[in-house]
Amino acid sequence: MKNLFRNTGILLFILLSSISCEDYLDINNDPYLPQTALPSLYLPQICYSVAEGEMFDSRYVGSITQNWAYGSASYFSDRHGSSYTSGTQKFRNHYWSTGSNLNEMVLQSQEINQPVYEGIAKIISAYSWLTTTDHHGELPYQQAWDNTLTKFDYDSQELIYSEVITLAEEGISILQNISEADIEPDFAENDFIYNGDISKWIKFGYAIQARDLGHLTNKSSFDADRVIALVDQAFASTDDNASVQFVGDASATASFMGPTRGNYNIRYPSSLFVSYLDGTYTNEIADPRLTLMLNPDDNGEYTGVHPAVGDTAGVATAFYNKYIFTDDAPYPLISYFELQFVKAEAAFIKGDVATAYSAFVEGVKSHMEFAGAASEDIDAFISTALPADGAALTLSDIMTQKYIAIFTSNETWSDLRRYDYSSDVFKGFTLPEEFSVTNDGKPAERWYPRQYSEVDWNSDALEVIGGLDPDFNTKPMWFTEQD
Amino acid sequence: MRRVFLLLSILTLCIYFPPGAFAQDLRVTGVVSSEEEGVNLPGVNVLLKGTSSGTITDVDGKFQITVPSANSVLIISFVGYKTQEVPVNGRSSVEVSLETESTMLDDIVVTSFGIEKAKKELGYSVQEVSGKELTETSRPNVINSLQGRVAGVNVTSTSGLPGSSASIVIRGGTSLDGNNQPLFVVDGVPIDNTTFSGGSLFADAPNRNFDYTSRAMDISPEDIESVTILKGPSAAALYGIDAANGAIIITTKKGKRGKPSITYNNDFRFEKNTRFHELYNGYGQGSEGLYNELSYGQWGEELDGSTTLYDNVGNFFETGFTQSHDISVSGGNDNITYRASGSALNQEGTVPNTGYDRNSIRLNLSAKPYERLSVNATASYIRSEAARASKGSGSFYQYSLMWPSQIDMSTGEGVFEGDDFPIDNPYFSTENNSITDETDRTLLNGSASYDLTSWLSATGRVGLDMYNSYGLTAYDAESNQSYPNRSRASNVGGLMAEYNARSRLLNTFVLLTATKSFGEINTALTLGNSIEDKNYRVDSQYGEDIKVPDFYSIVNTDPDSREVSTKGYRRRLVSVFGEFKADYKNMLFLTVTGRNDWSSTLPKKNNSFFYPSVSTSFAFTEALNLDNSFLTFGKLRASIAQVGKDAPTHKTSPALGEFTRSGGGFMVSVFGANQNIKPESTTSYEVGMDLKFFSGRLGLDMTYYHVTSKDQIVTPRLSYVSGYILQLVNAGEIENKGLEILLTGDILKKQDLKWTIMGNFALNRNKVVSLPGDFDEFYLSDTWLYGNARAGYIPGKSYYTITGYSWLRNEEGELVIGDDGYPELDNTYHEIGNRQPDFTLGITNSISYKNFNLSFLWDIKKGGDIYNATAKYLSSLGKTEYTAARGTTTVFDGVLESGERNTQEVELDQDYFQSGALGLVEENFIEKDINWLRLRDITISYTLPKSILGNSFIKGLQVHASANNLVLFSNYSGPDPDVNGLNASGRGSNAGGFDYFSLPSPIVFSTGLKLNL
Repeated sequence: MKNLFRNTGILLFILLSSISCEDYLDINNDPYLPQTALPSLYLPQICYSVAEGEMFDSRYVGSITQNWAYGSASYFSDRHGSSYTSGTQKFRNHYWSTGSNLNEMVLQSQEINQPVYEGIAKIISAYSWLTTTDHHGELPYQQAWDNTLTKFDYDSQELIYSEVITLAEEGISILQNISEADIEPDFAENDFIYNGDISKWIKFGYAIQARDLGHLTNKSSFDADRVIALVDQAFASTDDNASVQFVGDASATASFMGPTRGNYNIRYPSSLFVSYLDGTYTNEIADPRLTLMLNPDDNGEYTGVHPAVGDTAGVATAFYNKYIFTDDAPYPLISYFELQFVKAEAAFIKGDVATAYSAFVEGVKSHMEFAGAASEDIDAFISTALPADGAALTLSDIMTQKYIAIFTSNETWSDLRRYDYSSDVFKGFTLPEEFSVTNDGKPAERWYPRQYSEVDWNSDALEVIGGLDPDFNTKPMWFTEQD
Repeated sequence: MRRVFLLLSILTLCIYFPPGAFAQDLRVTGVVSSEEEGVNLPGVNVLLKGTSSGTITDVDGKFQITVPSANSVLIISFVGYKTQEVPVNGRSSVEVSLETESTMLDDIVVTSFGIEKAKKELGYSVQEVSGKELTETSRPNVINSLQGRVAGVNVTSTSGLPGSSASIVIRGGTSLDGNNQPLFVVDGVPIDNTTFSGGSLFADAPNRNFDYTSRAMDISPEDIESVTILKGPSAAALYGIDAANGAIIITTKKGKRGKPSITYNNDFRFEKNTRFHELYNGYGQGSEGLYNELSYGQWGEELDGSTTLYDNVGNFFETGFTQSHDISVSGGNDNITYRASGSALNQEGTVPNTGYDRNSIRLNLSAKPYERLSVNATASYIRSEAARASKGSGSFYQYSLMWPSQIDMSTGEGVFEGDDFPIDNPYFSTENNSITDETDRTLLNGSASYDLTSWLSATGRVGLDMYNSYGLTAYDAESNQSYPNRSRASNVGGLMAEYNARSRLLNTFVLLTATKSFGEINTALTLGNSIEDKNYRVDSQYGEDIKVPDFYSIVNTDPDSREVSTKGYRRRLVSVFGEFKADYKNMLFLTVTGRNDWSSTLPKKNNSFFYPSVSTSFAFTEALNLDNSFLTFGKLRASIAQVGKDAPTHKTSPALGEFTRSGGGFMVSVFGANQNIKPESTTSYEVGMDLKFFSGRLGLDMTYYHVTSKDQIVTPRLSYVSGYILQLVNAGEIENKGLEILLTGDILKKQDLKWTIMGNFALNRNKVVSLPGDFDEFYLSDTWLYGNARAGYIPGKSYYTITGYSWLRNEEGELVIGDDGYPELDNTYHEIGNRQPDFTLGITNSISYKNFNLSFLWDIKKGGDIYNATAKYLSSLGKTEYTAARGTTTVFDGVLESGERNTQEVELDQDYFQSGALGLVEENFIEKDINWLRLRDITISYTLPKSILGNSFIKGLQVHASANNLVLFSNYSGPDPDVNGLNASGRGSNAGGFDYFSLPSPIVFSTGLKLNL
């Protein structure tokens, strides 16, 4: 018996010492999800996320720009109010779903020596920084994505604007040095913006720079020639549009803008936007895009809802199934027609009305084609409803037609802010009768910082820039200010 | 790991210790009988005092034992009888007759790992509930039966639907964001008491609309011998991290020596929902005083009494019926005992087409093949099936309350189109939609004990708990029900979602126990090792557009709409622990424990952690010889214990997430990595005393405890600038302190008439000491059920705080009134309520007269606020008494911003009552200081006397009638203040006290018999 105990003891001892506890406990990786993946597998999410941030926040920005108005009265963003919790999706996406995935994708691409990912990552990042700073103003740039920090310092918009140019240039330079033959085919399969066409990605890089520098019309440094040159290096036609694609065959793959996801349920065409298309400003000639971009109301008419007033008649209809409000329409991040208007504006400021006029016409024409207008209707409209030549062209023609062409884009807000919501520039534009109380009588210039991120963690840094003031949303941004 | 080897080496060395040799062995035979009934008792423990060696009486109550000397003393003990010490005095045969114990579980309690201990030696508070008490309630869920019976134990029912979950929290929560429910242990082995969480499904559904069964409900109460509640870290020190919230130790019934004994018990229950949210019907359907047939809102014309109104809610519910049948057979001989049992429960709920079925079989075998070896094996198989109804927002209950009182719901259309959105007729949805689940579960438990020497024994135990759950949610193509984060069924041609959950929990234990006496000092050392391995996997799928109607299979859905997901986790925990016990003259006790855990959920560098406990107990009446007729027994106790808690699985270096939109692929998780996470740490102090007066007829047990939980593992939202949304961090501290008083009294103790009363009082004060980061408030997003109110933590405030919007007040606490004459809104999340009760009190009375027994439990709760979100919703429809003031004018008592008093008269119109900033402001729906007095359980039983049964084959027959929730007095405006807006899978302070269309528990009447053959 005694031997039995001893033998058991020894056996136990040997048994236990041979099992490595470390290995036994090393099971803290999720059994059903990978820790890392090939870089291409991050790409669908990145493409989606860049567009989603824009679309999500446009529900509120579009109220400020009067692309649409809310169905019931006194809606906060119709009255230029802001929110710490809504309209902050882009911020979330910029740092997390776009930003962190870009970082991870680049890291994984270095493992397999596929620099194409780093190239497009810089371009996407440039776009994301530009649109996010245009929404919020100052942002943490230098300390961004430092996972060891819990609090972050904010950097100036001026710095971010210059970094956008740097990022885009670096991206272009990487892509220009890649041979297409060296790119693995899974890149093209997962690229939901350009399906792997590197030359278009390079053009997108120029387009971002054109938008960035095109914003600086109020700066003494504004360089119209450089902007025009960038536009010319960028998109050559609407085929080059930087647009995010959606499969659209199920609710999960449908566009945020479409009827399946139902995100525009109580948002109706504004009276301003209807007036831009119904002939009010175009010699009483209705724009062919009126019926292509909008649904008629319940009475079969195109009326529009006044901001903050609501659909008092109860006849307004939503946007669904028109224009890009479908389940599978690609969402343009930057379009060929946008850039044509950037060029027209720059040329106009410079005094080159001939260039301005031809870009203006090209902008209108290409957008009409994009919206699905017949070529005879396009020609008829351009020849009868628009200024006949460069001499007749005004800045308000350019900016109003740009407003129509980039309808739904938050970029319109940047345009309105650059020109102080002027009705001289945007025909017939009137601010809402009453602003949100906290605006203190001033129109919106930016969106509040996000509550469950910035107010909770970076209140010290926000304090410095006035980010916790109730009227912070009316504080003008660097890019809109005269220097 | 080095420590394991150290301990094992010590143990191995111990084995070579020469065992003490016995001299002058003497053989003693004996017989043990019951003093009261005069029959011989099989299965009685006969122990040689001062040793662990002993035997048990055989079928005829006889035993034989070898003792070392003529002066040896035998300790004779048996459940339900007073333990006797019998000196051998040189006799070779002894006769013992045992006196019955009135409070039968008084002296010996089952503690960690099934170790039985004398209550006297415990330095902490434990409380027991007998299986008999549990079965008397006729409740199918053992968790629900515990409410009111144990001081400091708080059970919250999710709803009154069959098979619904119940959450149990002991002494208040210790975790901000984690699970606060105790560990469930059956026969020494932990089992799974998870309540399925919607978070493990493809759609990440919060637990607002569905409920699932708490898995402890799989255990038939009829199989339970007793339940011990280990209330905190001190009591549960040996169970370690899983028992940081205490432990519920269930001991099941085992076979008893003797001729086969057969029992058959049945129970027939009738249940009825009688308590609902009250509807105000002063006005008819419509808006702004005008009738509108499409309106759910009753803002129409004032009703003059001539309009026919329907009690749509009351009419909807049926009488539920449950029957249960339990049968068992047990018996055995000296070497082997067995108990086999079968249980069948079939419940039809009060809501049409809801029900719960549970069928189980169980076999227990205990054998003693050799003198020193005993083995025990239990196997059980349980199958349960539940047919449920939705809860909360969009549920049948909400829609029956919304249904206009002018329209008869029972004859109404399947869908009420409404002027805003369509709703399902509950008659239609409970008939055509289906929410079902079924679980197959196997529990295996095997153990072996070997007495290596007279002073050293070893025990090994293995427990395996495996189950598969399958669940189906199917919504008819006509139904307007929507699946969380997905489309309305009517928009997509019907939908279905199904899941398969597989769980496997394996536990092994090895324990070595050595006892040794040094003169007046007795010592015992237990060393052990345990390994826990948990695997959990949920596969779920979803599909829309049901092609062949009413046929719910994933292949019958539109392939493009299908979604699939697999989620799950693995967790392993390796532990070594030790307990050293010493007592002096059996009156001063000291226990020291230590445990080291290695958890797979923590980063490698922090995955080993050690925590100790010390407890002491002093029976001062014995030490000071104070035993007198007044104070019979007195004991003081104190303990201090620490326990760690590991992290959620797979969260320190998170995996990628699945991207389900166009193109698929992967994305970074919302969780940022944190390789610096360390275990959460809870420190508990506890002091108390046990006093017994008048020969034990009056007992008082008091406990004060103070528990602080530091370095909470929480997942706050980060600054997104870090690149992530959430991250595990160690931050935050919670403090719990409380007082528990247990009073037991034999009020009457006559031959025929006995009356005992037991009261347990508990008071807990809970405070959030600190939070992560700059957080002014840290909230549980799932509790954000309706409007701007949620379970939020604010430093310095109660753990059970409700944060939300209120009207704005100035520093003097006066309302701030706007220029328009209406109060201004404070739209920050600040404290608007506290769900913590002032105290709870449970009083059990048991009165027996001859063969009649009456017992009843009063459950009392004083204080604690409730957010009546149901009333808020119904107020927006003009269907609460609160909105009867419509059309009146008032002057709000407050000050204008100028500082002047408000004098402006304003109208309380429909807009006022429908405005979230005015009449619907959340604070107006916080009901303060809600008390209840509830006759939770009452049972009357009659046992047929032996004189009637005579010598028939029937050994015993008892008939009983019971009622649950019969009486409820409460100042709550809703039907029942015992509500949970989520379900038992909720984390942190959960959503108890959030009333949002939860169906209250029904009143239950039951009757049945217990037959013993």
